[in-house]
Amino acid sequence: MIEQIIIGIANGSVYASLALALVLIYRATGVVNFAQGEMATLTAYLSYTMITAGVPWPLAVILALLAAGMIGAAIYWFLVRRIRGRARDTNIAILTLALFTFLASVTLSIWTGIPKAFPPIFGEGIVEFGSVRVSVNVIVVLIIAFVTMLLVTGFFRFTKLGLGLQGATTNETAARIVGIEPNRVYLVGWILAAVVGGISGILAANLLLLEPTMMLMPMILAFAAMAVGGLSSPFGAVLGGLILGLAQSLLGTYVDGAAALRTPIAFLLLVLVLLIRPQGFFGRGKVVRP
Amino acid sequence: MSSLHIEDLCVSYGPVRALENLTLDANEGEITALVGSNGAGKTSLLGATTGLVRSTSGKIQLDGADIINQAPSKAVRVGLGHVPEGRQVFGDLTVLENLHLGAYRFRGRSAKAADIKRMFELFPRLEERKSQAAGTLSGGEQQMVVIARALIGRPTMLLLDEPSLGLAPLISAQILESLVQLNKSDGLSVLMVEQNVTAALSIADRGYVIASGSVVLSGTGAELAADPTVREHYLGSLSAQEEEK
Repeated sequence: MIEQIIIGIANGSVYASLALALVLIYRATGVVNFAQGEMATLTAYLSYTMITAGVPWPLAVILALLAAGMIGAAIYWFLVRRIRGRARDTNIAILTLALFTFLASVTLSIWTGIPKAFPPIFGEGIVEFGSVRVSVNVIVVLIIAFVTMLLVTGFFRFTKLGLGLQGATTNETAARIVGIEPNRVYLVGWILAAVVGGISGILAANLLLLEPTMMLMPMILAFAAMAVGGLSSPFGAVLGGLILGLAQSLLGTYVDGAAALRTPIAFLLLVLVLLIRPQGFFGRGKVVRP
Repeated sequence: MSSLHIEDLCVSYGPVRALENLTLDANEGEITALVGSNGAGKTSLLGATTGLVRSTSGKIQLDGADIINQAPSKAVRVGLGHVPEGRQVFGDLTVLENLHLGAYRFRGRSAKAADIKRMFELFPRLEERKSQAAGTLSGGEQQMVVIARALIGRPTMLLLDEPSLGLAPLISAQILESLVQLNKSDGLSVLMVEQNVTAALSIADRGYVIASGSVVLSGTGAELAADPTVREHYLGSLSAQEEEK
């Protein structure tokens, strides 16, 4: 039971960190980024290639995350920035769908579809708590996801750029007249999202096999986590991701015949949450005074 | 304290001319009022000054330095504060966060505690509501947030676009009163568009009447208030309403 809970939380932390990236983009541009999962997969592959080529893993991970940040910056600066303001938000979301297919085929053509085992960078140790055995890998994944959440929440709550980013998405005219340059803060948002998403890709590769489609299901669950959490709340996204991961893991193990249904059942939870609280747990809803 | 000099300013939206060779001065330490009917170009003038709207030609100088077509973030840094039309609060953010963003041009995330305290003294209602999302406040309270946010940026020249539009008379009087107070105590220069022409001219040192994108009349506040054309066009309907009562 406890092992299942821990595995559920570990999977959930992948959904959670991917959902964090989605929340960042949502707050930076007001859209969901369908390409987030593929950007994460690409980051995981980049670090994989560097590690297998002999680059020490911490350096390989840092370089891969830097590359992810640059990709995020390029997508914002050369694509999203140019159509933002002139296009509807839906059009930008569809643009990210195009990026999704593009990045997916780039990954597939470079690394092929054959699954690869990610190098065990966090070691292969097992920790025993009494009768409960947990791999070190899972524990490290959990810690990293948790720290990432704290950093993102701290970014919004305690930094000037974080507050400026929220200001710019809430009201761009007001932002400009207090001296915020919207394009600059949005760019920072996209870079951070790409890095946080990249972290989730590397975490997922550590728990599962590395393959081009590995982020598809996490991506769908991350959307769900984001919605449960309230779309714009980093804390809500993480909580949503953990709940979905736990639900999946426990349903798959303890409910007869539910293994194949565990994901749809997890989604049933989402539907229930949205029926009861349409704005999600921590959504501020729309505050507009008539 | 700042002076604003605008000369032969032209602004167009596509084929539509919003401002045509408009020239005016908002002097240091004075309150300057802009009067004119809807669509005369008053909002475009304020927008062009902060850089929210592109100017086609002309001159905009703050204390002698050219600021035409600069990014708003630069205009803020040289001392312009802008209270735009339509109560532009950060609706999802709290009142306090709104005020902190007013200090965005300074170092650090938050406004100085003393500046916040001063705004709460000026607008006590805001202190009661400091943790509330600004979007949930009443219209008058939102207007106070926007003015306080602009003041926290310590402008030397404050531009106001219809600060009292849609507000209860008591609150709009209170807002105008606080502007006079700041003008007297800090020497804050003010350039304001105000639909309540009587009230605006009564506190203004200087006034301009704008029609079809150009200045058609100017003078001291008292001169304009006494001018027969102004009375007929801009005060006429008001006094007619008053007589009906």
